[in-house]
Amino acid sequence: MEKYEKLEKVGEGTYGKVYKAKDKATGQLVALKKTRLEMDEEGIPPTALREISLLQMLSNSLYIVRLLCVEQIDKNGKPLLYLVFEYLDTDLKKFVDSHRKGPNPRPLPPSLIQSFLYQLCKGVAHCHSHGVLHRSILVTGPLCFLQWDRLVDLKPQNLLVDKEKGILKIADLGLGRAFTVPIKSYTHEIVTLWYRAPEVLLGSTHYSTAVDMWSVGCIFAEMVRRQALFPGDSEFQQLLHIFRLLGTPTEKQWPGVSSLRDWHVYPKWEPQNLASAVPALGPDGVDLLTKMLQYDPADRISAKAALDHPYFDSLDKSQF
Amino acid sequence: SPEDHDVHVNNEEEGDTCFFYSTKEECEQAFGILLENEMSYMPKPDYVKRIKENCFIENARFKAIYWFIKCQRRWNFSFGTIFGAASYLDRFISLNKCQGWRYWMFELLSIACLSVASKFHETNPPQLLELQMEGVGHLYDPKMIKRMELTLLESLGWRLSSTTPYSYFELLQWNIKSLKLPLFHDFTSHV
Repeated sequence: MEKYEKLEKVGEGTYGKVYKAKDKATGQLVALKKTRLEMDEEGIPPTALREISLLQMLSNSLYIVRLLCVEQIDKNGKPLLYLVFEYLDTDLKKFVDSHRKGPNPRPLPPSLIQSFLYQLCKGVAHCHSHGVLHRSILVTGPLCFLQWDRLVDLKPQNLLVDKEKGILKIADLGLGRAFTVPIKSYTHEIVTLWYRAPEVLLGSTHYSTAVDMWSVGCIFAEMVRRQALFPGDSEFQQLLHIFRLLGTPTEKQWPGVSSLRDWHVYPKWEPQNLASAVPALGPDGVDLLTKMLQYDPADRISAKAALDHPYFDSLDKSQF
Repeated sequence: SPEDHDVHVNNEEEGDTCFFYSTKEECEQAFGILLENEMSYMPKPDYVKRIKENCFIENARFKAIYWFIKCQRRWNFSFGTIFGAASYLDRFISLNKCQGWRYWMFELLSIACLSVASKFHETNPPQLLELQMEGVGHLYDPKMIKRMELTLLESLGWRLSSTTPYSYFELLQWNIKSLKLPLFHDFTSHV
């Protein structure tokens, strides 16, 4: 670890401290994530091994935060692993917040929203295509390791942003569990429900990559509104937020919804006009958002299809 | 195991969410990724030639692979595990890290390769002590295996999802299985 000079602590993730550091030889800025590898008699835990390996594999995309290397050190006989990531100066949550409050509140430029959403869809499409390939590892692992909602935990805090270059990358892929110290995660971590798809909230046990597209839709709307679309504080409230805007789902709209485990009888809300929730967004944008927020996961647009949506027609795609 | 896979086989008629490759497009996509990544999981180009020149390594490698196959039978490992372990072994040797090694070091390396591969691929990997029951010359302390595991992982850059010949077979197998179950049984009975 003498290779790096720690500059400052930039965060305390669920799985340990995160430092901003500088590679002494190259001057490159990196994010160091310390993990305590809980090694017992059985050597390296399978979860850690799988997660680092999958992270390594997925991070060969420009739209995923790159895992540069894994450094191991021995501290008092305890092995410590540092994951060395590329460093980006902020995340989407802080970025959106800075446009809502602070000295100069202003909307995000529409072209930037478009570009960020495109990069996000690129990253998600990359994860999904590799997820397809590694589905066997994903679903047969211990305790059904890496359910989809955990592999890519999409929320603005997990999207890192380079303000100068206008780059957005997905971070924290699936690293939640292998390195989570359980007690800590229960007391300090507030699990956000805001981006959670309705099928997950309703207790569906078989969900697919469509859960991520719901999250992408929520993030899209949040960039336009500068505040969360569905800010629920419990699973029940979360559903009510969704139903109030999009209408209470019906069997016709979403076959099988009323047989999901946590389905109850809800008030029957009529769907509101989605455009009124995102007044600054043009018709193409509203159309794409509508396709991302479809109730039936089978009807929801895929990341790959989203990239070809007319909303992106005016974007210069050659830069990506 | 095939039984496990059957549970997850796509069954669109029943409206189940599908696992594995359910559409032709997904299958082609998976094939594309395998091809794209294959080269990056290969040992160095002159590997075969170098191994032939070194009698000791060639012999030790042969023994290691033979041991993997024996273990596959004993633990009913998936073939993905065995091909994975062999790939890790070849990649490690090809990094030129085994010069001047003694035979027991090779044994330790093969245990680490199989242990890492089984942790990556299997639902219930056997314990390190159990793993050694299938005829290795020495019995190694789990602490030592642990250190070898870390050395191996570091050398491989933690890249464990090797594209192996079996990856293509598996893809083909799932593809056929999702098409028609009777056809699949017919196919596997010929393999």
